[in-house]
Amino acid sequence: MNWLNKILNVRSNEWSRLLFIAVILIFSNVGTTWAMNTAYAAFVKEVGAQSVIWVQLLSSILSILFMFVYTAFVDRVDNNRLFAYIIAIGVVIKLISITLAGVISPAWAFLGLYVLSMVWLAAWGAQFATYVNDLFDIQSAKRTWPIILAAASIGGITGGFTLQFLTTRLSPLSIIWIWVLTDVVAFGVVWVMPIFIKGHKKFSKTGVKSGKPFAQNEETSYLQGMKDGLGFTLQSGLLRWMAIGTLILMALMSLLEYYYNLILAPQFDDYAGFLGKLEGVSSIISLLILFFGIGWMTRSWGVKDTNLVYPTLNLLICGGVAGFPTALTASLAFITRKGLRSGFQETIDALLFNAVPLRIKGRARAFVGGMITPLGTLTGVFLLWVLGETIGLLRGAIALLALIYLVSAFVTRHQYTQALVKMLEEEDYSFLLSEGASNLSVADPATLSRLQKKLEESASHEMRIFMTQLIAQVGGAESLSILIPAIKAAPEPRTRASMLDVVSAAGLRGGKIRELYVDFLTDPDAQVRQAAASGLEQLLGAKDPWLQEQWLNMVGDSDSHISLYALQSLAGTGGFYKFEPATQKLDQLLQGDSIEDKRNAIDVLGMIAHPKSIERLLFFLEDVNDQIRLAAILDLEKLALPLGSALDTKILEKTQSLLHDPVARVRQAALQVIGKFKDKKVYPLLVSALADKNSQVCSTAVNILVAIGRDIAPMAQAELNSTNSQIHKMAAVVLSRINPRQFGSLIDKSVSNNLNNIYQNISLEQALTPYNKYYSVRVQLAALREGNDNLIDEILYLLSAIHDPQILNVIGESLHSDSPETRNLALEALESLTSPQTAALIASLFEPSMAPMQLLELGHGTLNVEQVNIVQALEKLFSSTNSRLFNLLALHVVGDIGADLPKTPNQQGDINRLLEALETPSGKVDIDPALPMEVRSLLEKALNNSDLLIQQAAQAALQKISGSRLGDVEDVVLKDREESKEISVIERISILKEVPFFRDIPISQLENLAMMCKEKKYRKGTRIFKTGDLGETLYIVVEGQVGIEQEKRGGATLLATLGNNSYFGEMSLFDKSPRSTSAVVLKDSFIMEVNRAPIFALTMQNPDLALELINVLSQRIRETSDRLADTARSRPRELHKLFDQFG
Amino acid sequence: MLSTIDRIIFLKEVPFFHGMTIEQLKILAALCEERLFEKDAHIFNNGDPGGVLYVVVNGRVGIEQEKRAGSFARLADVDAYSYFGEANFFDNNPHSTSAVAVRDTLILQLRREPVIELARQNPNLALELINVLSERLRENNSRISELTRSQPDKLDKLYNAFG
Repeated sequence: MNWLNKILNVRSNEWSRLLFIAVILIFSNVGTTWAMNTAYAAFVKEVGAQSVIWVQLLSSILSILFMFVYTAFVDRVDNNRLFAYIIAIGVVIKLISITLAGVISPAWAFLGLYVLSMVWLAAWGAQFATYVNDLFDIQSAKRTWPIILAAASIGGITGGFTLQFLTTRLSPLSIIWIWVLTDVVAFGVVWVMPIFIKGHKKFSKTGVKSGKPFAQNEETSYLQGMKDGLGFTLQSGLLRWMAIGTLILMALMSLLEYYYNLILAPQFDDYAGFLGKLEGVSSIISLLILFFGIGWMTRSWGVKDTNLVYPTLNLLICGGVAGFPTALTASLAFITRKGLRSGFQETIDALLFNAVPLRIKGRARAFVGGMITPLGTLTGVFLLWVLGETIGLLRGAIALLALIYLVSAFVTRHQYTQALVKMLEEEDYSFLLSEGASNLSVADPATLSRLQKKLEESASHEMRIFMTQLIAQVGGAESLSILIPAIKAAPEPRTRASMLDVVSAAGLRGGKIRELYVDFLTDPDAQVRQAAASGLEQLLGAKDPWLQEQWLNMVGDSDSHISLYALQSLAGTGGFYKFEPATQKLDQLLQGDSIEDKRNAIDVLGMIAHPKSIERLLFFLEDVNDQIRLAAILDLEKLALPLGSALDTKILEKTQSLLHDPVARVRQAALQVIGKFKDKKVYPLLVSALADKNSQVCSTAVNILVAIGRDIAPMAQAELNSTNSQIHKMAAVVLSRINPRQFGSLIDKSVSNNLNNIYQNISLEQALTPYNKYYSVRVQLAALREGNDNLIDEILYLLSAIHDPQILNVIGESLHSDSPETRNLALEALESLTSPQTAALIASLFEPSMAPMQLLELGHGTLNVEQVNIVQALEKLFSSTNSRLFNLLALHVVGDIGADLPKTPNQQGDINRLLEALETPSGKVDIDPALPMEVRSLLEKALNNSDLLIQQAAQAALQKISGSRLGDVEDVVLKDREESKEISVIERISILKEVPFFRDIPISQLENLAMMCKEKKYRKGTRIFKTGDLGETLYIVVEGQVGIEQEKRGGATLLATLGNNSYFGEMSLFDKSPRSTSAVVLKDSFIMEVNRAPIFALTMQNPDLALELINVLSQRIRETSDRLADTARSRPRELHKLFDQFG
Repeated sequence: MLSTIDRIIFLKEVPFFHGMTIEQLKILAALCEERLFEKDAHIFNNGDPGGVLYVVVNGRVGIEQEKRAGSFARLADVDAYSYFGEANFFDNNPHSTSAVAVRDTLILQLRREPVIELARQNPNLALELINVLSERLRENNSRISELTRSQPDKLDKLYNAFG
């Protein structure tokens, strides 16, 4: 199969679709060739050659009418269905004709069938092209189109040569029946195709375009298109002459058809069989021309001269048949009408249209094809009607028209060159980007010399690259003589390098190009040397010993990129360890100090894929540096494992220890590596990874387990009893994906669990909201909301285990939509997947009009979630096992709102005792007996907790409560800060959360960030930074006052005073440009600092944080752009257009 | 129709993709979609959802905002090898501007999902994207400060707005 793939240039995943299409085509074409020729022969024999006139007249009128009908349907019906319907219509047409044949004379019934089928085949062909383009993307369509054409020809050839065999044994009617059968088969194949082809591209439903983000050009009506087409044709010289040529050719063809039937029909008894053979020969000729002839001719003569080939041949044949009417010349006339025309002229016409600007091309082609072609046939019919009786005049007309056609081709040739030159002058290169199914390019000397001039004139780097690309694409081998001097003349090294890249990408071959690359191997610029080397690799292949020698020389290159490139290339040869200098260089890099070098060297190790290098890779899995470990495990992930050697156990052993690595991506890669060992021993490791906090890692574990399948089921089932709710849920996902029938209900349970949690969180939110003046409460509220968002995402993930993930994706997006209609649609879709109750519970969460109280009522009604009071809420928050962060947060909340809580009667706090406690050296405070009982027991639990941080937080909370009872909270806080230089993570989170920059970053991520912050006390008058300093710090004023000043020659102007909770300098986090202002402390201040370096190190470990930062940046770019938009002048669009013309 | 290799070479020249390796560009090149916009065609309109990055292959695009009915501010001209739509690329935010083809323009458009996936898999790439966006943000900031240089009182207000 592999060699077949290579020869035919088809990818393995395309075969199933391709075979289906080939089956449809071969069946349809065999049937069509059989029946159409049988019908044709029958009425030509019975009625005489003049019936051809009727056929031409009717079919050209019908084809114009037909285009109206077809264009009305084409964009409104699913392409797949429409194709099936068209086939079905064909069946109906045939059945009617068969019935008619019994009523009226069979010959006339066949004539009707033939005419209708001509029109039907036009629809079939048009829709078939759309259908194929739907199945393949443009790239693969381009590759598979030749094979599809070949299948069509094979159908034609088989049908043609077997027809005689059929006509001697079957009646014409039976052959029509066979045609019906082939259609039924094709219909069946088209209908079931979507079911059989898994993972095929979705059939586009052009009618349903909602939500498509791209602007659609307005679809013009058929009439409008024709009108535009006429306009373009009248204006452009080339189009005018192409239209004239088509008109003459079509008229000629209809005369020819009449004439050769006149000669041939009386000579053969089995006319159908003879026509079949001619059809077969025609198909072979057109196949040969398409595959070998045209490409060769356009390459060696250019399009404009190839354009003359068919008219010349045509003139010879027409002259022959007009002068010497014999069976041979008449048969040749048949071939010029069918095989030669479809092989030559249709392809050449498509190429000629390249010289028409892309935006008018479509309409111009539709006009010539849909209007001029039938008009030409009608002209022919008119001529036949006038001359038909006098054979001598007819023969003269045929010869004359063929001559005129050749003349028109000469004019077209001239017009074509002019049109191309004009387009190039207008810098419209769109025609050079050949489109669709055509593999042929326009390689005219005129075009090339024009492009060469452009290239020489281009001043900018980008323009040069662009022109190089065009020339390489268009010119083929010819382009080298232009490009080589151009590359040598390019002044900038990066231009040379990019031009070399372009040339090697174009796949140009030959000795000249090798010389070019070798020349540049000694270029002073490293980039250029590398481009030349990779060009050589492209040309010669990595196995070439001479090239390997070159690489070995490059290992010692002064530029580290080059020497790395050489190492990588040598690593790919499969014999790395033979090259002594390379091995040495690699060792040197691996032992060096530079992280960057080490990482690259590790990648080289991965490429060598030799047991020796893998062993060395394993060594780096234990490196302390995150990047090194990451690089090593990523390389291991790429290898095909297990190796089947003793090394395997070692790999497993080392990788296992990485399952708890701090870097999420390392854990994920480690899982992938372990997953490749389909060994019972590793199953428990994989299952335990379900508990991973990172959702990416977790879903990787799920995927690996699902791929293992049933073997894992018992172990996963055991995890259903796990106390860890995440393991429980993920085990359910794994099981239900392995066996949806047996375990699908587990998902429903998990979903309703999640919903329960969500609504409980809402009730907690409700209880806390009255206290949101406290920072800790605000953080707590944000945490609850974020928790709910995660739970919702998880619900969608859970559901995707038993339903189509794509559908759930759409539902998820629609739920977030602003439009109530879209949300309603999502609700309905959810209802069909789950139950109405569940769907309502989910969808209500996205309803902006739902007040929290309404949500709570819903939760109470459906899930029995009770509204909690503040005390119960605090208890719940503290007892949640989610994470230590949340327990700490709950204690902070207790500290802040403790004093506001309802007091327990008879147990009024003793202020004096508290004051005393505050002054005791240990700083420990007893639990205020006035607090509600539940809160007291909560604090007690916290004080006795084994975790020191929790103990401390409880102490702090107690101090705060007593402090605020004294009305002196500020003092306590400040005193606290005098003593310890750090503030708690929770407080930092709350401070960060107040900064707009970090507002949208989830608390789970902020926690990591908060750990990287530092606080500093600044005395009044200190200058934090001055203009021109290179900063990489964001400052947040926790307490105090800072002035931002702009320095001027005379002194400084105060631009702004920043008080508590304001921040400055955040651009420095991302950007190392110097400060444009200076900052001075106006009052003793406590300032939190966020540094660039640790944050960026953190993003390495946690890509999600990076994505959050990217979102924050996007937001900022939008804000600044809007600000810029405010300052921009507006004016009417027409004025802009005027400026565009001159600017 | 550009081949994948053509696209890779092209994308390599576009600042947004500078930080990506050839392997990564290969993935993106296969996924991006080529579209031709005729002169005066709207590529996106105010209020259309984002989530798409547009790279101009050839031609020119004007970024416009309608200030009053029929009156437009031209915020930027985007030429070959430049890109637009990046501010709404990563978070799908609706556009506040319109993009109009000033000439016949060939565009490569890329959806956000594959880029996000790549960034997730390659932390280095995510950092690179942050740099690219920071660069754009800095450009905006310096343009703003240029525009307000002559009006010191405005600078104060802007400072408060941007920090």
